[in-house]
Amino acid sequence: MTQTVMDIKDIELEFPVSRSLVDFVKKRPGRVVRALNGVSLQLHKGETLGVVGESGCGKSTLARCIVRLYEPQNGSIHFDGQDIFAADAKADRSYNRRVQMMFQDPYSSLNPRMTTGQILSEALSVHNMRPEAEIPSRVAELLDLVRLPQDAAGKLPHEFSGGQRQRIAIARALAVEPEVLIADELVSALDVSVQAQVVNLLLELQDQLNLTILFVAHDLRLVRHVSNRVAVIYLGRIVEVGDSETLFSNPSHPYSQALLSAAPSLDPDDKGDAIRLQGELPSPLNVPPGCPFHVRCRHVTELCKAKVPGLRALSGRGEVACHHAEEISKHA
Amino acid sequence: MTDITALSAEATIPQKTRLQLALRKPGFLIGAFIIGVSAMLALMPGVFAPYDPNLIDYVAVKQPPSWAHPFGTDMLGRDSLSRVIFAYKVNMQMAILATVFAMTIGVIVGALVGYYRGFADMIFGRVVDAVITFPFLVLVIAVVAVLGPGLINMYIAITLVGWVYYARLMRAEVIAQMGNDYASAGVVMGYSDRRIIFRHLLPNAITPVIVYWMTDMALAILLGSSLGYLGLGAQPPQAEWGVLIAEGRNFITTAWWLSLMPGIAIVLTGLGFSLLGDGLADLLRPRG
Repeated sequence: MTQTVMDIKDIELEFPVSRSLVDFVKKRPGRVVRALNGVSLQLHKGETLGVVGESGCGKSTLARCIVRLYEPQNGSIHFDGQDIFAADAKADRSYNRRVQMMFQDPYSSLNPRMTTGQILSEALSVHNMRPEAEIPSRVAELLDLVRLPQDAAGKLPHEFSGGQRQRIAIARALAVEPEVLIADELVSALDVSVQAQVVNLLLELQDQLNLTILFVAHDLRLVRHVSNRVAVIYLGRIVEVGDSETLFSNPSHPYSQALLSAAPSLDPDDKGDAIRLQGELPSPLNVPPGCPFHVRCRHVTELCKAKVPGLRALSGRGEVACHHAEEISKHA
Repeated sequence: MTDITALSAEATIPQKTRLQLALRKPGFLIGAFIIGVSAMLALMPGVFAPYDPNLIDYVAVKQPPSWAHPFGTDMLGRDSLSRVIFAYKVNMQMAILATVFAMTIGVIVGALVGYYRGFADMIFGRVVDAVITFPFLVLVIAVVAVLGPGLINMYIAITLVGWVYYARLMRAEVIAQMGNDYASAGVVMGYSDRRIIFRHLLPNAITPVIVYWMTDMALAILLGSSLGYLGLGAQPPQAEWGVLIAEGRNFITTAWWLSLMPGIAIVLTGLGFSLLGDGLADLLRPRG
């Protein structure tokens, strides 16, 4: 029943850090930021998969890998059964039509010198979505779809508010009739009231157009609201994936538990029993050996320091990457 | 859903067009006026010049400024004002021809190396280093020395050296623009590199180049007349400001107006281009 449209397998991505003269003189080896350390994830047709995690954990890097803005050093991404980083696939621009991305910053994601109409008709004509004569009417349709007034076509991006710009970005992505949308912190730059508008619009369009959405965000309540499934990332690794409701009401991984309890609650009676993590998020320049979370975990054992836990299915829940998931979730 | 539609139809505050704002800046107006007048003098010097610039009159040599000859006459009795006016044609031509080719080449090369980086960018960096190590004038004189004196060779020499400055500026600006998500969005949309570079990055990166171009036109006039003065650019008897200053140099104590008047023309045109460039910088800046 659930059909996998995108299969991400063990992708790893490192960014080299530029070496200083001192490093060079002292013959220190070049350092790397390990942004993704073997991320595996499946995207099912028609679902919304939320991806959450702290700043710098690799959420956006993952999103950018999926649209081929970055190429991972290891691992593969298969879309519709085809490896997107294979040589012949890279030359094929139709992948870029079928998988679209929307960016976090609405102030930099639109070309400031092109009107909305030009932005949309460019997308339409490059991919030959419509014959030349029908492009203006399709632009009007797209503006309607994201509920922008018709006169928006003649305006430049600076004439719009953040929320309106984000809707132009959605219209641009939808212009090429994609199957998968990657929303990288789509609304985090917007006011709360506008966030709701944009997110609801996105969900409505998803229903209408049967889209699959990967929703990257750090706002947990928002992710809970929009996603069917959720993946929690920690230091470039997925620590837990599962059905959204189960994961939010009953997280299994100690990191998910800490992350969710850190989210502010609207219930005034609910105070103070949040799990407080010790220490800082380790630098991705220097990922701890074993389970990357062991330096901050309350349940740490010798095993955690030695061996990296893989993702494994837990009965009645999703998949968890923790050696002690069974005991921990029993106590929780 | 009605609430969303209502919110999208935000009241737009009537904004002054950028031209209206620019027209309120005196610097821009003065610059535009000077360059406008200069362009007119360059296009139809015959209309404004009172005499034929090459008409020799041995009866009236080295006459000081008077109502008949407002800028005086030179050692051959030619009317100095007419010669300065006719020189506008050559010197304004210099401002354009010595810069447009350098700018075109520089913009294209700069945009390409800025976008692709890699090995070509490294080579480009070395070329830039090599060229900017030498003073501009010295390098141009060296090229002219190889090619031989004359206006055409001077344009070639200035272009060969000058494109580097445009390319360097363009490269840096393209790299800065690529930090914006609209460039990434172009990749995600599946647009060709050519489209991303020339339709998206270039229009956003070119503003500083155009502003620099204005300054460079002033510099080109200065350089062209320097070469004319040195005998490497325009050749006498052609009326050109550098040549005129050189001709007046021998009589600087007795007939000071011969060198002063073309000198003032150089300063004024240079000032005009600089003010215009400054105003254009405001006019072309995209709004946030």
